Amino acid sequence: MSDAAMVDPVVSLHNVTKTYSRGGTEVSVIRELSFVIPAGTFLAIMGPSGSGKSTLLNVMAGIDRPTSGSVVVAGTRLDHMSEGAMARWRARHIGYVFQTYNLIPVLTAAENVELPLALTHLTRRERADHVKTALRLVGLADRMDHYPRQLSGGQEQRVGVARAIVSDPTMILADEPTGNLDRESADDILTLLARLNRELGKTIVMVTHDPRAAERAQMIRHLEKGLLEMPP
Amino acid sequence: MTLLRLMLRNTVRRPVRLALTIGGLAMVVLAFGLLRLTLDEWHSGVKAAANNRLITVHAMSDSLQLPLAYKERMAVIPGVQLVHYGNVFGVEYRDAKESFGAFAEHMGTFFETYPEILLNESDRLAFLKDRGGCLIGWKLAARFGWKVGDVIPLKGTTHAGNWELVVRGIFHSSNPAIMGEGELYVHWQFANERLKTTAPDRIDQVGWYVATTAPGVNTRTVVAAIDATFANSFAETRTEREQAYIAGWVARAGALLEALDWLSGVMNGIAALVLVNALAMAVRERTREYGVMKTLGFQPRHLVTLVLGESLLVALGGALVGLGLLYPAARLYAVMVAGGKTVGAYEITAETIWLCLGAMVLVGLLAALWPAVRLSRMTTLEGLRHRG
Repeated sequence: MSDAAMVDPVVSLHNVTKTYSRGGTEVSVIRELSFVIPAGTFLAIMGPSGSGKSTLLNVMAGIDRPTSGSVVVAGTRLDHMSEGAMARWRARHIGYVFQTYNLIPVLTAAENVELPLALTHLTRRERADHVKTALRLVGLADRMDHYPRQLSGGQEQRVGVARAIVSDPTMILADEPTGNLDRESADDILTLLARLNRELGKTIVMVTHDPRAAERAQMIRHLEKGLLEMPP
Repeated sequence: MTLLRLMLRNTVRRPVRLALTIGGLAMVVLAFGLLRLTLDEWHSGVKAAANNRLITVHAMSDSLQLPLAYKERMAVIPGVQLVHYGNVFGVEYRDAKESFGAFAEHMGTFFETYPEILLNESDRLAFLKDRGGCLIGWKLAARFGWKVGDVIPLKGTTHAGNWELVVRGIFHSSNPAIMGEGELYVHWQFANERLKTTAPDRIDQVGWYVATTAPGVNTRTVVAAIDATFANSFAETRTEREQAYIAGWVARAGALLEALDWLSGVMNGIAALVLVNALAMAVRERTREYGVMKTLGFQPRHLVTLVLGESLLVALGGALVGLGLLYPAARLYAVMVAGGKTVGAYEITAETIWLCLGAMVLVGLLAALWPAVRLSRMTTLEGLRHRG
């Protein structure tokens, strides 16, 4: 990773530590982690429950802050930004795919996908075009007017992916995107993510504890007790 | 547009809860509106009073009587154009619940003193000719189904005995706040004659005088002159312009009015609590969704707008349903509660409507305050980790 990172890093973490206070005791979730992710990478971060992989993803997304260290993503240093500034930055640079899909149940598939575009200056027609394109990419052009309750789990997650890519973000972060899916649906989602990386050049960081899911990524790194296992 | 759609869909997301909340708010608006109607009625007389009518009553108490002989002495006071007088004529129809405002008035000056009375000429003449006849407001006629020519059997309270009065006319009023349309009028002379046999010590007494002043006359001077005329007599007078007299009457009921005002405030507080509860539940249930929205880049102000909008929509929904119910309720209220006893018309004014809407907007804003503060302070991570 190091050669490519020198050329074009999208994510650059330096001595990042994250500790939580639990019952008066400081617990380190991430310990002095330093690494870079080059643009266009499909990286899978693996690790057992509690290893800190979701925390790491949240730090990269600007959802959580490191206790110490610096986090630079898409050319912006995040660790000193305010919550509001981070939200604005996220809207431009991050597409987030959740394990539990997290669609808004009262909005249709198209409206859910359109949601991030409410923060842009696009016209109504442009927004509609973006939504159609995103849903077509995930193979759900014929389910635009369906509500989440009318979709299968796999379809819901595909809507979640469409929502993540509709604003053309710099990077897609996926937190256990196949964790709630059956094998077939999981394969569909992984194929979709791989396609987005391959055909659109999207940088994707996926957290998973499933080795079969991780195999679909270009690179796999293991996080164990807050330390990232680096390649030999 | 998406946010507006989301706001609308969130509002109707739990139909049963929404219906109950709107129902609760509507009941509060209804009660608030009826209270305002009552307060408005108390105050409307003050606004509607005539400038050229002076009311003279006993200086010690409105309930004490003045001698009829004062009429001639008042009539010669400079500035006084006409002197009218009357008494309360307390009666009930079939039982005490069916009582209403009734007055014995000197009919020689009644119509001139109160041009507010709208009555066709033939009925007016028929009434003036028949000393045992009565005049009733159209609301009273509608309440009991009385019509011209009917004989009404009444039981006297202030004027003992049974009375059988013939309805000679049904009037409307150009100013119901002063001249109520739910009242009954008889000839003062007729009531006075009956007193000769039932209560001889009360004959030739008057509850109030109404002196009409000539245009351009300084009423303050006339007021002072009337009271000066009867100073140091056994029945001193207190004279006020009609407006001041009614205002004083309203002021004497000040504690009650103040209590009603406070009650209005308490009702709005209840409405706010109803809405706060519903809104807090909704926001708590959707905390994770708000966390997701923040992950997508939405700012606290967007989420606050969603909650505030929803709160205002529900509050206005409650206001509209409540106002819709207020119209039939006000009619029912006028008949059942007021029963024509007062001069009030119990009509819903634009002010009452705006007051109800304004109160509900305020309730909507207040109810959204706490959930909005909570959402503003919530970090994205707290939202995402929320388990509803």
